[in-house]
Amino acid sequence: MRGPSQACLLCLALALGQGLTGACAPDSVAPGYYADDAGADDASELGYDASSTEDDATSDGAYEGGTPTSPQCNMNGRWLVAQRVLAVALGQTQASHNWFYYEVTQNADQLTVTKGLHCGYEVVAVSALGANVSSQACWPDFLKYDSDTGRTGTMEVTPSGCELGFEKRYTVRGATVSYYQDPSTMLPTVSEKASPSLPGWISWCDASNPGITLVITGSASGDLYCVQRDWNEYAGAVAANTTTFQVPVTWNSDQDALGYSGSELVTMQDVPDSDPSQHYVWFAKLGPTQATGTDTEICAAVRSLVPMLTPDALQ
Amino acid sequence: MHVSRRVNRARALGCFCLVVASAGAERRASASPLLEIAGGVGGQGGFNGRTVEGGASSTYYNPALLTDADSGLSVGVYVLSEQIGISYAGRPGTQYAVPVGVVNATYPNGSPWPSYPIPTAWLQNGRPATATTAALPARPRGSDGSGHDVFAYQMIGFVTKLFHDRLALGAYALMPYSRFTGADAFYADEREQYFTNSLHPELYGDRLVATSIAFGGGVRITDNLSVGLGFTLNLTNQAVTPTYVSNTGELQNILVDSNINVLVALSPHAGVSYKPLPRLRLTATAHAPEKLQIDTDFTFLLANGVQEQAGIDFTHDYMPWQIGAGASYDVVTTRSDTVTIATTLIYGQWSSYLDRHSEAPIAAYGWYNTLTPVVGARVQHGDVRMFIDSEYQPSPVPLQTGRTNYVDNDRLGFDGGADCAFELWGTAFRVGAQMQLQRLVPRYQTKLATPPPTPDGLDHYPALVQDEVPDNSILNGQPLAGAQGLQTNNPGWPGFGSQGWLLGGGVNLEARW
Repeated sequence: MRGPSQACLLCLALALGQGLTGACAPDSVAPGYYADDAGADDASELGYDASSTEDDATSDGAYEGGTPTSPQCNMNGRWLVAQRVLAVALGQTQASHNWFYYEVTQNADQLTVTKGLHCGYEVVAVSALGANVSSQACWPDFLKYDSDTGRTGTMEVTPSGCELGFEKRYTVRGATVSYYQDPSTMLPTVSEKASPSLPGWISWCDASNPGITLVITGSASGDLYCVQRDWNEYAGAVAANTTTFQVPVTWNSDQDALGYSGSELVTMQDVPDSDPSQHYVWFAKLGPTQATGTDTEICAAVRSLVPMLTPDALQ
Repeated sequence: MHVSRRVNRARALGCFCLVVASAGAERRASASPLLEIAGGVGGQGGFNGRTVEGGASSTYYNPALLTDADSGLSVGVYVLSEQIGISYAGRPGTQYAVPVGVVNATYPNGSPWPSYPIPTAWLQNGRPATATTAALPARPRGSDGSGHDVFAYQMIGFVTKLFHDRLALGAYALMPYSRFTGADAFYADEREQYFTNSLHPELYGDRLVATSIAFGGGVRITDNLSVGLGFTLNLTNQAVTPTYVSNTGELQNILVDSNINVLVALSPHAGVSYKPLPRLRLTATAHAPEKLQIDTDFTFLLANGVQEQAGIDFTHDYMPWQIGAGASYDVVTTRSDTVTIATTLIYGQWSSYLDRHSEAPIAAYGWYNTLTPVVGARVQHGDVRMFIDSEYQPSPVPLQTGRTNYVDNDRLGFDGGADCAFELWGTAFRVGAQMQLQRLVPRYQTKLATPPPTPDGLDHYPALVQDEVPDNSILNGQPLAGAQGLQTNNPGWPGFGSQGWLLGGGVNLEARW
């Protein structure tokens, strides 16, 4: 006595399989609008134009400067200064954007910043897991306590054009500026709060946290309370008769984390990227109607002009 | 029913062909998602398995009915196809797209957003590589959905009797051939943009490869009263993965250890069968909630000594409390023929549902508890038995006009089958086949409009589609262009529909003693 044959079972399986896969209810996506420009984050595609002309250079007659060695290498005037440097932390890169306002007087080859405002900075992620840092709440204090007034430099005539240099300058944030500008001093620890008689950290940024309060987003997020001491030095060739130009920057930064909320990763200290071409500062000469008013108004105007006058400084 | 008559070869083949020709199958509802959807495989339980004895499958549906089942070993093959289609309404304009560059945007006070959406253009078209970043592949809306699969299962069942048939023990399992079990998590709101950017049927898909193993026993207390108790597996997987990251720019070089534990708990179910009259049977069942839980903990150690920890829990295959009550009545009983009608009503406490990310549905769109009616009939003529059932499973999911996109439909199902007893080499066998067809009734929902922002800037309508780009955002000190009004990547916005079919069938063989 035998049971059902294998052939019979196979036929059954085939019949079932055909029936099972026959039913169909496909997915469908109706036509719709998603976006019309995938690259609109590029400042150059937003209609901004970084070029400038000699006409710009003649529009600042209201500013009284000194007498340069050569009119072709003339830094007299009011300048938007936008510094862009690249930093690395744990293999990730971030671009730091610092914005300044300079009024420069040039006598012969010597430059003096007669008014140097710190208008703030931001850090934006460049690599996929980089960090974004907002210091916006601190901008009023940067303007109030930090200054590049008195910074000196040179503007020399060279066979190919001009050579610009600004001295090494230290910037302290979140601590007694006059004391910690000396690079031989150690930045304060969390126990070293400033008093009327002793230097130490100071609560900036309209907050009660120690030092400055930075808001960090990206692969790690949280608030960082810290003191910072940066230095930068500008030196490089400049074409003659140019009013918007870029020169290389050398820089470094020292940071003492005094506390944080959120991820501990926000306390990471970064270092300059090894590629020197990633560190530069843009100068753009301002017209007589641009960036005027109080210091606060000047800085607000500087920040709004950066995307238009020096968009490459936001890369 | 036990068949001891010898049949000859021709009769055995005849019975088999009759079974095949019936092209219908029965099964019964049970607690595991797969067992509930597929019904009983093998036997005569079908969708009415809580009320009608279904052989080994009664282990799950109503273990009290095991006392009426034949002792034996059952094997079978079952194939189930899900074809669930989802239609996405077209997006009405580019002003609803998340603009490029939002990752650096903040609130006016400089604080970051709680989360940052992906620019819609990047999702739809991808983003080319830059000097420092690899290209981002496109992930168009609706391009990576699910709900179109064919699963094949191995059924194994076993029933044995002890103490003069007073005690019956059973085991029943439906095991996918593709994988022992599966669990695919997805978000049912705008967060899915980071993954498939698509919608997925909530109660199908990976739930059709859920662990489906039941053990149980029934006791015949009197000739008319039986009780039963059974268990299904509740699995909890705990995974801890300590990770060392030497360079976050080279994640391919991380070092990882693993510490994985699988904890097995038993989820009970119980049943009662009572025959107040020779032709009437009353049943009651209760199935406790079941789930597959995955607890995942991550520990990251960086080269600079910083250590971070995070954890996330998943809940898969969640089945709520289910209470069933049923009755069957033999309308015809002769020496060779029996005709029985059966009905079951199943209450499902779906309001306690947890989705795959262990999140309960938003209260404003809380799930309904359901009542599922099942009706059917059984016919026995000599060695041949046939059944047919129909059930209507109302969806527990309310219309998804808000933020969430739980895709589900009412379901109308038919299940039928037949088997035939014969004897071969001195052993009693029963060969059967069954088939089911279930229709997921078409459903469509349009998202409600999101109210304009209030002066306090807070979201007072969290149940509605989220504006993922705050209107007061700033970028580089300037108002963010394209932030006004609603911007969302919610794949279900501005609306979606779903409908589909489940089609299944299989064959089984039971050796009885």
